[in-house]
Amino acid sequence: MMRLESWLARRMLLSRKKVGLISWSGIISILGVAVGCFALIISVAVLNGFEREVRNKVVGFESDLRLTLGETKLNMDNLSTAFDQESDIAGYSAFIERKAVAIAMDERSLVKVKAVEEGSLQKIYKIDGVGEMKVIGNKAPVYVGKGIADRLGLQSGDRLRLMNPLDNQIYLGMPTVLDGRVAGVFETRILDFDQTYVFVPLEVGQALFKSMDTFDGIDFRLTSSARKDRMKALILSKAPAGAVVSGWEDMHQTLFQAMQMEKLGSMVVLSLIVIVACFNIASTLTMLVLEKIREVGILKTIGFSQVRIGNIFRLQGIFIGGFGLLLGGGLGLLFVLGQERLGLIRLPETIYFVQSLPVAISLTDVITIFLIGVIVIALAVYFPSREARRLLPTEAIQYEK
Amino acid sequence: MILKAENICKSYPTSAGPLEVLRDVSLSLKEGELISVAGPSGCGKSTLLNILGTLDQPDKGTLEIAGKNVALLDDESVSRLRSESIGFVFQFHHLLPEFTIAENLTIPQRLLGRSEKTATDRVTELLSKVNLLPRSNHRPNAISGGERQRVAVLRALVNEPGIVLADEPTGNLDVETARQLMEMIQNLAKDFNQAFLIVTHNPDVAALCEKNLTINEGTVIPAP
Ligand SMILES: Nc1ncnc2c1ncn2[C@@H]1O[C@H](COP(=O)(O)OP(=O)(O)O)[C@@H](O)[C@H]1O
Ligand SMILES: [Mg+2]
Repeated sequence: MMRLESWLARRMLLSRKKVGLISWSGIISILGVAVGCFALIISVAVLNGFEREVRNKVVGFESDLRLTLGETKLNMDNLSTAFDQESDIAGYSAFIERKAVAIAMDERSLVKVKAVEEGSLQKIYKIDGVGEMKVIGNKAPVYVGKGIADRLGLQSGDRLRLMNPLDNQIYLGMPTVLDGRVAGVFETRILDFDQTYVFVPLEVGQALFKSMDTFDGIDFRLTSSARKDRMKALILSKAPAGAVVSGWEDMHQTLFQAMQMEKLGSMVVLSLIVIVACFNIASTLTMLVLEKIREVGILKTIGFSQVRIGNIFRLQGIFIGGFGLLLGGGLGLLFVLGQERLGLIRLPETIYFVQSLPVAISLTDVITIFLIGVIVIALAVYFPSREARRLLPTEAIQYEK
Repeated sequence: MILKAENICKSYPTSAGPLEVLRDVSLSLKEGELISVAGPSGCGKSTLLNILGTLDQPDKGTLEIAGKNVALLDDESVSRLRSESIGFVFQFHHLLPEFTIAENLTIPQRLLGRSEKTATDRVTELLSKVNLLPRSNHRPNAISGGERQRVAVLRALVNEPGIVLADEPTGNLDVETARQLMEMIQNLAKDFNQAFLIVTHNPDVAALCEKNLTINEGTVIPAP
């Protein structure tokens, strides 16, 4: 039965004699909804894209899971055999991460020293463009973040000393100083990593921080098919009591929460465009109802019930809104797809850490945006169609235009 | 008895207090009966027809159509009743301007649930009866006033309702066209055994009816 109403709605919308104000306001309504949906899709996709890039970079630098030991000491040999057997663990490295002072020729700077196992720079921490980390001679190889290197005026091969002013009690106030050589400069362009971190071999760290044979934790790299929560539980079960296993979302909780908030905020703000566009739909429909008062009266005398009359105008609003929704949503998705495949919009790599505008959209996002559109359109359509329903047939039919 | 109205009262609120238009009007229509209603302008003829056609509600009184008490029905059922049992013809044709003649005649049938095929076949049959078949794909504004009114009558009859309410159907037509329209109504009414209640000032039209009524001071009395 809706077929009859749908046909009437289409005919009354499209084949009007007067192609004027109402058509224009109809087109503007469609465009408004389309622009709103387009903007929603694009902004969510770009925010997702950047979040994904940031996450990949952060996870790349930070490892997938981190076991931190607190005060407990543990036997690495026992753990190693357990972890080596697990096929979902692609690699792991014990580490020490503490603050120290880096001293170049005449500059010094507070840095975070991360002491890691040999071979883990590429395998675990995804730091490209650096060679193998081997102690050559009596000078410790140090990998320096680009920000630190710039600040201290360092280049590969330069001398660099690391000083630990904290664990110095037993040396009568003399801080431990380690002689090192810049083995490489790395650049992640993410967060403050380049300004903060230097990498040294584990044994160098142990010497610097006076913690022979002990370490602060273990970083894990998982295979791509690994289920993270399962691995988290497994690692925790092998570790001594008091140990904590955390993932990147725990390590950078505030960052990712902020990105979520940003996404929510932009969705709310851009939904306003859709809402304003739906005011357009409402006013277009109101004009349509006014223009069709006589016809409503005629339809009622023929035997159309209030519900059916309401349906006709509701459908007209749904046609207008739905067309805008599909147009904007479709163009948005097309853009996202094109950008994902072809990378049409490029970014200056000197400023951003990616080459082209990153985009990503999930089915959930699309459904959410679609629902926002549908709800707002439903509200826009409700009141004008209610007015049409309520028209009295006797008055409507006598209505003079 | 296809329609039975008892003690119908209707008044309109105006700035100078309620305007009493109908006072205890009782009236009934048998199947196939032709009744004319006359009376001076503003005496309440249209008001009566609208109430009998369920387009308006009486303040008091009962209305029974096809055995159903209209006051007890919800909007959906009243609409259904209107679609099945009542046809309207007005002084102005009141055809849907965006739709062709044929479409104007199929819409009531589709509402009744007839298939597209049945509906179009019936439209063809009716239009050819009144020699309007070549006009079936024209819009109402492309045909003459007399033709429009003929289409309006066809629309009122297309679902074969038991009752046709006509409010000055020939009011806008010249004498000759009015005569043709009445001839057509007569023929069709004979074919389908419909009851007609016709508001008219035209003595020729009234002469065709079996019963002539007039409204005087809000009540219906037999015409002199
Ligand atoms: N909706 C309305 N509000 C107020 N007064 C009305 C309304 N409709 C009709 N009337 C008044 O009721 C009286 C009867 O009107 P109507 O039934 O149209 O008369 P008729 O059709 O016999 O010329 C008139 O005086 C008219 O002004
Ligand atoms: Mg009248």
